[in-house]
Amino acid sequence: MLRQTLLKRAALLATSFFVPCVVRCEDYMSIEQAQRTLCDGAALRKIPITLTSEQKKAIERASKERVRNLEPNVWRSSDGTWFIVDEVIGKHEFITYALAIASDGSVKGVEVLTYRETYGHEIKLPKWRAQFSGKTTAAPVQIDQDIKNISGATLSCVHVTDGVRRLLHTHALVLKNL
Amino acid sequence: MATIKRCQPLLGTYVEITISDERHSQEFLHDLAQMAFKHIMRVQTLMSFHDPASELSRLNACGHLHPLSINPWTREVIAEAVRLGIASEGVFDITVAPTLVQWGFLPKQSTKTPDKTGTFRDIVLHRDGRVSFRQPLMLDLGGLAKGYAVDKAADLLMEYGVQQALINAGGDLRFVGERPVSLPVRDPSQPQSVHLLTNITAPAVATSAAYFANRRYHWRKVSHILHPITRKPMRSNVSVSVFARTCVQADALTKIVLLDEPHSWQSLLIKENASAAFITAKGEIVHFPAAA
Repeated sequence: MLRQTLLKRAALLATSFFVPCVVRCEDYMSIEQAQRTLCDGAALRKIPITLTSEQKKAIERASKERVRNLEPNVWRSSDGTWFIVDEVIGKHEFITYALAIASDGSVKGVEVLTYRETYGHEIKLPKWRAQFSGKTTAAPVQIDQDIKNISGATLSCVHVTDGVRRLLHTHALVLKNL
Repeated sequence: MATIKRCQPLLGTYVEITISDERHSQEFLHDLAQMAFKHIMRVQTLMSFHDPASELSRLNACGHLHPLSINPWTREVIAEAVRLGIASEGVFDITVAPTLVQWGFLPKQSTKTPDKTGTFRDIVLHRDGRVSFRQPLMLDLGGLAKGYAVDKAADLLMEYGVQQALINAGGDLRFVGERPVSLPVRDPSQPQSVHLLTNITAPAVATSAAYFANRRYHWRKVSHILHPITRKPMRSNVSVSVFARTCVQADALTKIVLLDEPHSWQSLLIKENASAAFITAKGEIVHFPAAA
């Protein structure tokens, strides 16, 4: 019993060192703006839905993607368009995006709503900071909210693409039949 | 001043469009942004190597059998690639895809992979706009199509006379209107940090980096940086940013700068009216031409 408590406390302590540091934060569109843009201003009705475990398994099998949210955020318009707001997590990024699916199951559009880039505790450790001491050239500036429009490594959008695929299967297997 | 910023996943990366214009409503700017995104989608549909239904895939399958009529945009990109292939004496070659497929960087195609004897010199650009190959080839436009897409989007916004705009396709940028005082470029060793480059004298910039395959970071290689003649991949941990008049030039030139001999790429940059800034593995910034 004591060992369990100690282990639990140790785990909590360990995870507290891994609080991600948000280095970049972009808000592109609100959900309402995205609804207007992707659904041509049509009126949308929120549809409460909870996926059953069979539905979850079917979507995972078809899309080869984990279903992490059993209560997707979905809206439907009178012409049969579905509007979904979903989240995906990459190694260093956290993205919220909106997908509009036409009644025939085709993609009407995808818009990224928010983008958060995070790095782990390593950037706070003294050893990491020590790399910068003694440099004669200007040390690199850590990205923060004021750093915009960055050039450099191409970040792959594979997580959103995978998410879209999962949502298309969710539509084909579940939403279409509602 | 009305400013909007939008982002869509396209061309395998995140494409951001920022538009500022005090004369128009936000709604109008959103419409413009959507039109610009449609241009980028068009480049993707035409030129994606990963899409077996793209025009490029069709050309790769049939180009050696008979000349094909292709979209003027696709032809423009191939023509620019051939031009730079000649100018770089073969260091830039869009026909290296078979090696990249073999190494697993690009997906296998349903058609047989051509052998590696073909080069960009086997591409025939007919006067009537059609394209054919002298032998089976596999073209990959990934080395410059992103820059081209950015140019097309920027051209559209300029046609509409927007005061200020920025298109950023995964690090390939084009400025419309006023240029910023400094440009942040990611450190190739620590992508969570940036170096600020100043004196932005050109409207387009592209950055390529040949990283070590470092599992700590998930950054994809910006391009599959492979020397077409030696067939050796780039290994050193350096990034180069090329500033040029158009993004398609900047995009292609980054690969030439990373792979070619200094005296060769230096004279090519001067001919193309472009400049470069390197960030070394140690975080030092080196300019060409050297800063005054």
